[in-house]
Amino acid sequence: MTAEPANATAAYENGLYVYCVTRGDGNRLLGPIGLDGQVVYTVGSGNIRAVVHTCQAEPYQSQDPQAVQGWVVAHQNVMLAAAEAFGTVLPMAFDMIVRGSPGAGAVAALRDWLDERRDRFTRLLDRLAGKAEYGVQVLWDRQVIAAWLVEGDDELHKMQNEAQGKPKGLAHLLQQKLAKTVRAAMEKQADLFAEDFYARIRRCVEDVRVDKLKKVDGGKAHPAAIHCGGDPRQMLLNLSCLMQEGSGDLGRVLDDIQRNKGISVRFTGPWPPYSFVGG
Amino acid sequence: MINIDEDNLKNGVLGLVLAVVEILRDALQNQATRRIESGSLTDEEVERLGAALADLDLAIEGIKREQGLEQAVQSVRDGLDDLVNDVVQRITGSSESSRGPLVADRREPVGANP
Amino acid sequence: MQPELPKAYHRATLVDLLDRVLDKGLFLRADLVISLAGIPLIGATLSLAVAGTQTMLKYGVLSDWDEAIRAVPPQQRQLLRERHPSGPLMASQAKLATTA
Repeated sequence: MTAEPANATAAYENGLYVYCVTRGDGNRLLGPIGLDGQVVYTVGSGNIRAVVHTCQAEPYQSQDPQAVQGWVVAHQNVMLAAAEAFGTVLPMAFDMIVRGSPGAGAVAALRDWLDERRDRFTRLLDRLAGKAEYGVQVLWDRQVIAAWLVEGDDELHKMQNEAQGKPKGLAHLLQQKLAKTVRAAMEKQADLFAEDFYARIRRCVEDVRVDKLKKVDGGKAHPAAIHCGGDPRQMLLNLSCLMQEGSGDLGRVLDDIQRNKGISVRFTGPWPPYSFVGG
Repeated sequence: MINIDEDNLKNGVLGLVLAVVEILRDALQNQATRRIESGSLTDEEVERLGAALADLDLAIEGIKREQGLEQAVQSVRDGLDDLVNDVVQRITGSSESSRGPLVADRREPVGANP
Repeated sequence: MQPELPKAYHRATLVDLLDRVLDKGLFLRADLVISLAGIPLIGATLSLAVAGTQTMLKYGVLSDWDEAIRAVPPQQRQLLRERHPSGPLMASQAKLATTA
């Protein structure tokens, strides 16, 4: 792989794959750490620059999981290298490739884009300095919680006892009724937990984004088929939190949350602030 | 959109059929409960109805287990849920969960034991 | 400076990364970009295949992947087909093309 001269003007057929935006001027070379081993360098305008590699003017797409995995991990790794070299980064989404137009290269187009967004990027860079993103997912074990709810509720407890010793048909119907009532109670409890935990977390971090809940599947069977050994865990809350790196407040709150019976927390990070650059 | 993934294709139509059967079973279950609570059935009728539903349950679970279709059937039902949600959204201009942003899209497996 | 991590610190999985790089981060303006935001890049089956099999270490250094939570991404993602490499400029690179 030949190294790209740092100030190469790409022909308009070429594209520039953009990894992130950082502060700084001058052109820098980060080496062949990009997707497919492409050489990563910077293209700047004034005191703002983008970390890029030259590529063909078409998106990276594949049906091969290994290929996609490699690209996505490379994308993240370049992000981290850039953070180490240049400080705060504003991460790009995957596969953002700038194209040139007839008469103007991709480099010119990218510089214009940076100029256009200079104020906004500068503000973001200031805001995000020294901070990182952390993923917080709160889960509960549906079986544990169901048992806990039934135990603590006279009505439900009564319903459960009522089904004992009854003939098959009646027992089945009573069980079904109980199951339905318990599901409703669980739905309500999930809301209560979510609001409570969200409030506690929100208080000790700078900013939060609420993400879509995901299915938890630790085993082969779907969570619905608990009796077949599926994962009984269900996600209550899926958050991305912005926090000073090194802050310990969130850890304490998450420990408290996990003291609740049947509740577990999944915590990942630090991440570059993907969720806080506003798309 | 209904998620037709490898499992569904491999097992042909059986997964789809079972999903529909499950949904019907749930509807029957609900109707049975209402009829019982309204007091319009004799004890014997209640017992027969309950036993029939219990047998149906066992049969469905049995087939799913034997054919390894638990995931496929759930996928179809989830897909149908999404489909219905889309339609409802388009008609009413609102999304299924107006409970608030925190709890949007918590997927409650229908008919599953808690 | 060691940050005080919560007791249940998990290694990030590929799915955690996918959730971020595909749905979040900065986007380019539509007229500027080759790859438009929202173009589905990874199929649900694909994501299932990669999910739950690997873990990424804290600073992105690849090592042993261990099974954490496998999550199914939004069902909107569709499979795209591979394209074939094209163009004399990029002959040396393993570029993938798509058919429309």
